[in-house]
Amino acid sequence: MWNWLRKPVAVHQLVLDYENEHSIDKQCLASKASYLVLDFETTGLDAKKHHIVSAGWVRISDCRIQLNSAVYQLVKSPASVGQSAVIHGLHNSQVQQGIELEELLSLLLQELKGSVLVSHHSALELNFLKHSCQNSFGRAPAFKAVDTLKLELYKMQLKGGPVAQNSLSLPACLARYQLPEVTEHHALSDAFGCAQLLLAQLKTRGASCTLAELFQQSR
Amino acid sequence: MQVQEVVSFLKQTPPFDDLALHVLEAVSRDLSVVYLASGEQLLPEPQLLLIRSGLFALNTEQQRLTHLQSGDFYGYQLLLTGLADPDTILCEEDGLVYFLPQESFDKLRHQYKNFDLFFQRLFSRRLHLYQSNKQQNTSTLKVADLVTRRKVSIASSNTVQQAALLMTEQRVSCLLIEQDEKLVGILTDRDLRSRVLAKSLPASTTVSEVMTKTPQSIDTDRFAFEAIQQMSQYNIHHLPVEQDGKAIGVLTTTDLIRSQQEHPVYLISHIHRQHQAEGLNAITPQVHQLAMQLAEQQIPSYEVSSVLTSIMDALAQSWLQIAEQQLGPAPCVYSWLGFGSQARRDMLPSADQDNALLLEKEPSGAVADYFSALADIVCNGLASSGQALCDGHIMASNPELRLSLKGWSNRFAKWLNTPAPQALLSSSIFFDMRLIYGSKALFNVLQQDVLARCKNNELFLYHLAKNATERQPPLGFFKHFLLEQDGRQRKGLDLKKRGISLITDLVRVYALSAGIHAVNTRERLALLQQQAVLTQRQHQNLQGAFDVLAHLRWQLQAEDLKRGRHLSNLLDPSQLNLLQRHQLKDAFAVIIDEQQVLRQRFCREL
Repeated sequence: MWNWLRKPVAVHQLVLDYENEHSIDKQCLASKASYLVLDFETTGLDAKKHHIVSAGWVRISDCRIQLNSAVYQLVKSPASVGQSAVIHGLHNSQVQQGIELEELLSLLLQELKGSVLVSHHSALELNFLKHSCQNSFGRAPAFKAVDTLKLELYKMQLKGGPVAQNSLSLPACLARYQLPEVTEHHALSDAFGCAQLLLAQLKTRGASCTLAELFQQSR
Repeated sequence: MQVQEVVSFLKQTPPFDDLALHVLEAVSRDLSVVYLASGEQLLPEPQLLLIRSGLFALNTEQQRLTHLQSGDFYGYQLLLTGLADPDTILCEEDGLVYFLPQESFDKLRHQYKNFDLFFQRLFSRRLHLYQSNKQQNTSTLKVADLVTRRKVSIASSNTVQQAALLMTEQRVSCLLIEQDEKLVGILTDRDLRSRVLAKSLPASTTVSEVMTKTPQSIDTDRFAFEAIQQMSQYNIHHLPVEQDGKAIGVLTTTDLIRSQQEHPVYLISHIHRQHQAEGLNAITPQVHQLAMQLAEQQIPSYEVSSVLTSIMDALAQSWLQIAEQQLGPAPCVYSWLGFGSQARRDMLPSADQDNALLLEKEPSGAVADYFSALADIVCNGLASSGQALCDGHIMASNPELRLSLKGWSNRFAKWLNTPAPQALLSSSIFFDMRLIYGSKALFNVLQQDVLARCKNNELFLYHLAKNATERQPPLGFFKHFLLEQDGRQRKGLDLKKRGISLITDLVRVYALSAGIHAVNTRERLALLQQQAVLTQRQHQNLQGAFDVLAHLRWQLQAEDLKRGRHLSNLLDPSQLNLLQRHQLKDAFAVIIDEQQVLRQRFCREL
């Protein structure tokens, strides 16, 4: 509540540009939309304390994953990767060869313009995006995402019955659609897996499904 | 950035598996990925389609339904010819399809000949003629496998006397001359003789004056046969070997000869040196060892079979000599005959005995007793050397198969003139015969007689062709494999009964109809094309199919040998890689087509 007392920070031009130029027609058919499927690997789950160590993303347009759009970036982390190395397999020496966080964010803000952000368990990506932008640029745009985990949960709840533990993990979801396994906890592989999952999920929702419905089910 | 999952999939999918990793990574970035749900139709577009997962039904103009699954391609027809097929592809099980744009496809075809060949073959439905680079590459020893000697080198500023001293000390016949770690020359025993001694040069002459400058060299990665080629081309006996641009040793003609020590020739001469039964009894492990080695070296299967047959011939010959030693000289001239796969030089480790005796005299009294004893020694001997006795008693130890020329001639006449299908089926093995030991003249008379009787014998050829087309390859209507069980309750594809034998049978009909002496299937095919009985295309197709099947069967039995299992002809198709699966299907398809051609040619109503 004391925020108004703080000295105003100059909001970075990138954020302003994004806010001005990014627009999505929510009535657009889900099959026609352009998506950016994103995955972060981080040093932990708390966006306030932890850091992004790698990011991977790939685009979907016309219901096709465009592999020429695939990007994988290591990101310099101000703190040690610590125990998280056990999960994503990245060590300090590798991470330190990555790009600066600001560079990653400016890349992403460019890429995201006009595209729908997609993640599996998008809370993590959204939180890290928000905090990073806030810290680096003085303000974070209002990011919204389609969450393949929530889309899956929505379908399961529609069917009724209990949702088994772990049945919503990316590997479990991929297996349910008989999609090929991906290397878990590699940012680009996970993004690619998530993209394949979204394609499969779109098929189960019929041709008339709109972006608004996807956002609705991602809540 | 490439997606690892996509690259790995390409890496195991022919023909992409022949491409270097960096090429695959670039290819993977050109792809787009589509998900199809069952019931959806896949619309053709000018891209190469590669099925990643799921099941798709392809309906072509000819109404033949084919299933496309992981690793299968579509769309190459349009890309190769510019003509769209009126095909429809319906998704039956949800799956992913990779799309490669025409531009990338054309670039790959342009840059990689084998890649282009794969799709040309796929297009002409002759994939069984395609050979992956990998199959070719692993076929031979590399230079690195042969260089055993350490490097001995000297600087060019040294005198020839110092060089000679070093060579004597190190017991080598040649020195590498190096400067700044770079190979600048080579000096051999012969150079010291012809360039120094013969020219009366003083011992103080420097090496640089007499060495061979900028000598030939070869990289460790090259094949041994390339080294041999290079050495004979330049008429040299010493070839410096380099790794990463630095000399690491010398390859000599002796090294190359030594590399051939494992050669079957040595085993055969070893067999011929044995004059005692004991020596031959112990031979089985060596034969199996050799069979495995040959199979692992990826030597073409017909060569491996031919080598194994030579060994089995040598065994029979040695046992016959031992028998003659024991029983004394034979009372008359005779020929030891081999039938079936031994005659065709087509043997496998699992082959059993198929042999017989052709005698100059009628087998009665003392003559009969002698050959009965001889046959027992040889057949039992072969059994103890690892060649199983024949279940069907097609062996010389069976008195019905110890006949005079007249006896054999009558026997064949009976088969030929009253070819009851059942009798014919069990006798067809006799129509592939070869002399293993004994009188060639006697054998030639019988063979001429049989061939003359077969040629133009329409009724006989009718039944033979009918028999040959009775069994069919295990390929179903949907181009899927039909599995069957063997006696051991294993399921699989019988590569012998429903593959190789079908080709052998088919080729035999043509060969007998044309009076061809050769019994080896490949030789028969070559002669049949020469005599215009078969077209070049038929020849290629049949031979390609035969090679694919024979290769798979060798792999199967080599694996059985390695694991000490019962030798089997039953292949589990899930063990096949994608290329092998394609090739096997094409090989079966060739047999189906050729059986139809054979039927039309010989089985029209008489």
